[in-house]
Amino acid sequence: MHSSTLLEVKDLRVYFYTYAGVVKAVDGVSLSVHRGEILCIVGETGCGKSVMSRALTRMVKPPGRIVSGEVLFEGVDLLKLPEKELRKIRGREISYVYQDPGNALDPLYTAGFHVAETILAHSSSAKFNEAWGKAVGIFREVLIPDPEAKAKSYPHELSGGMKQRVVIATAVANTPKLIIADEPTTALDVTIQAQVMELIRGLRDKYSSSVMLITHNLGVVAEVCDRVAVMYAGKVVEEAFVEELFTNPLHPYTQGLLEAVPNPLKKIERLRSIHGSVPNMIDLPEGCRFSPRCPHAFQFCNKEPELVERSKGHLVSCWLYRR
Amino acid sequence: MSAARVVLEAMDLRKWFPVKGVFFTKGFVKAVDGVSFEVHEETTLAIVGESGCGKTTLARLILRLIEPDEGSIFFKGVDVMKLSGGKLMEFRRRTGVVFQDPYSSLNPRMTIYEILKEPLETHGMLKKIDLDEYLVKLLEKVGLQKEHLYRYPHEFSGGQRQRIAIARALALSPELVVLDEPTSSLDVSVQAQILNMLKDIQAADKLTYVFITHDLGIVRYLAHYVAVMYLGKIVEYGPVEEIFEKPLHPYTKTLLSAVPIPDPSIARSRAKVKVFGEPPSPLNPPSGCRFHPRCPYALSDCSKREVSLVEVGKKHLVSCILYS
Repeated sequence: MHSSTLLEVKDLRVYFYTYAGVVKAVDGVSLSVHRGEILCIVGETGCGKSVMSRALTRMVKPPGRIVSGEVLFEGVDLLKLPEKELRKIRGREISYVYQDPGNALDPLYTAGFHVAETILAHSSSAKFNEAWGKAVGIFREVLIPDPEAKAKSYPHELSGGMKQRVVIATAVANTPKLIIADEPTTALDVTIQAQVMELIRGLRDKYSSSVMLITHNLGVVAEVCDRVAVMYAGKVVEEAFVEELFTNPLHPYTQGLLEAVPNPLKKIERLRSIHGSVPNMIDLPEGCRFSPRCPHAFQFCNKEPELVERSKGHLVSCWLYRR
Repeated sequence: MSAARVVLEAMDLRKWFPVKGVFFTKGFVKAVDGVSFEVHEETTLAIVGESGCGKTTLARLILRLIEPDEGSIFFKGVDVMKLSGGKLMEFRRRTGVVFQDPYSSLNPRMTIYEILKEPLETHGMLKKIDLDEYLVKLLEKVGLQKEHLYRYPHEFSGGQRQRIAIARALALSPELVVLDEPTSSLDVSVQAQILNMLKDIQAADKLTYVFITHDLGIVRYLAHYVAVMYLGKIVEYGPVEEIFEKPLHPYTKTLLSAVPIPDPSIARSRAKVKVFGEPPSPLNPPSGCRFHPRCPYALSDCSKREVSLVEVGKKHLVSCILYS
C-alpha cells in the first residue's frame, strides 16, 4: 500500500524574523508522505507543526520566511515553482482543512458557494450551475444531512461540526492527492470528533488520497493514523508506524508524552509528567533541544543528534541509540 | 476516599436563561434543568459532558456565583441560598474556584503577590498570618518559588498561570474547590504536571473537588464519582470505576466509544456504539428523554416520557427507560 512516495520534505527550515530575535519555528524537518496513507504529525503547542504544513505550499507570511529545504511533490520542488504554477496545485492537488471551521468559511457566502468556487477555480470549462450541482453531491458524500438546503445556508446557520464538514467538502472538491488537516477536530466535541475522523478516513479510502493529519491528541493518532512523526521544538524527533510508536517508543520525549496522557479505559495510579516546559524558540538549548527536560540526558546531548533509522521505518534522533 | 460525609448537596437545581426577542422573551435556554447530586468529603466529583450541556453553569450555581431559579444547595448541611452577609462570606472562604482560562482569570495589572494577597485581605486574614512567609509556602505548594512573587501574569507560561490560579483558590484553605476545566488550555505534558499536583494537594489538605471537564481520561484518573450531563440534565451518576467498566446510559456508552484511546491496539479493535447527529439546541430540547433523537437504543416511548434518575446499584443512578 505504501509503495510510492507522494511528498518528500528535505531539510525544511522556516524562520520568523521578529524584533525579539529569530524564531526557528521549523528547523531542518525531513519526512515523506506515501500514497494513500494517513501520516500524523504530533507535537505540543509551538513545536512548528502548523508552520511546517503551511510551508509545504509556501503559505508562510512575513516575518516568516522559508530559509532552505526542498518540498518534492511527485518529484517537483514546490519551493522553486513559480507562484502561478503553485496555485494550480494548491486546492487541487494539495488541499487544507484548518482547525477553526468558523474562520475558514467566509460569512458572506453560502456553504455551497465555497465548494463550487473551489471547483471553478481549477476548471476552465465548468459552469457555476454544474459546479453547484457537484457541490451538493460532495455535501452528500461528507454526510451533510439535507444537502440541497444546507448548500444554501450561510456559515452562521450551521453548527461547528457541520461547518467542519463543509470545509472538508471544499478540501475534497477537486479530489486532491494530499489533504493536509491541521487539528481538524480540536474545536469539536468528542462525539462529533469521532464522526469527523471516520469521515476523513472514509474519504481517504474512497479517493485514495494521502492525508497529513496534524494533531496534539495522541488518542486521535492511535485511532486513525498509519504512520506518525513526533515533533519537538521545530524538529522531528521520532518517526514510526503507529503500532510500533505506541508499543516501542524510543525517544524520551515520545515516551514521556505517551505516559502523560490519561487513558479513559485504564486505571492509572500516577501519570508521568515531563518536568519543565517547552523551550523558548528564540533562545534554544544547545545540542538536543529536549535535553534540559530529558531524564536520560548525558554528556553527548550538548551536540545535536540526527534522525537515523533504528529499525525498518522507525527513525529516532537521540544519542541514546547511537553508541 | 470512603468517607461518607456529604460536603455539598444540590437539590433539583434549575437555571433557565431567557432569550430576549424584540418585544418579549422568545424562550429559555435550559442550561441546568433539575439537577441533584451530592459530593462526599475528600472525594472528587467529576461533571462531564459536551459543550453546551450546562456544566459550567452548574459550577457557578453551586458556588452561588449566579442564583438558581429553583432548587437548593446545602454546604455541610447549611442552605447556601439562605446565607447573606457574614455567613455568605464564611461560605466564600470555605470554597475556592479555578477557572478554565488562566489568561483571563488573572488580572494583568497585578503582581502575583497582589493576586494572592487579595483574598486574604478581603477575608481579614492579614492580621493572623505572616503574609510573606504564608505566600511563599503557598507558592511552594503549587510548585513555584519565592522569586515569582513580584512578577506579572504575562511573564508566566500557561501552566504556571494555572498554578497561580490554583494557589489563589487555596489561599484561604478552603474545604471545597470547584475546578472548571483547569487543564483544557494546556499541553498534555503540562496537564499531567497539574493533574498530579492537584491529586497530591487533595491528599495533603483533605480537600473535596468538583471537577468540570469534557475529558474522560482525566475523569478516570482523578475522580471518585462522576456525573454525566446531557443538555442540562444528569443522565448517569456513580462511582468512576463502575461507570467506566459498565456504563449503562446510552449517552455514557457513546461518549466512551467516541473518546479517542491513546493505544492503537485497543482503539481499533474495541466495539463502538455509534452516535448520530449533533446535540440539539438547549433552547428547544427534545421532548421526553433529551437524548432519544440520537440514541441507538431509542424506543417509541422515549419521546413521550421523561425518566428520572433511579438507583440501579450502590450510589449508581441512571435516567433511562431501559433501566426503569
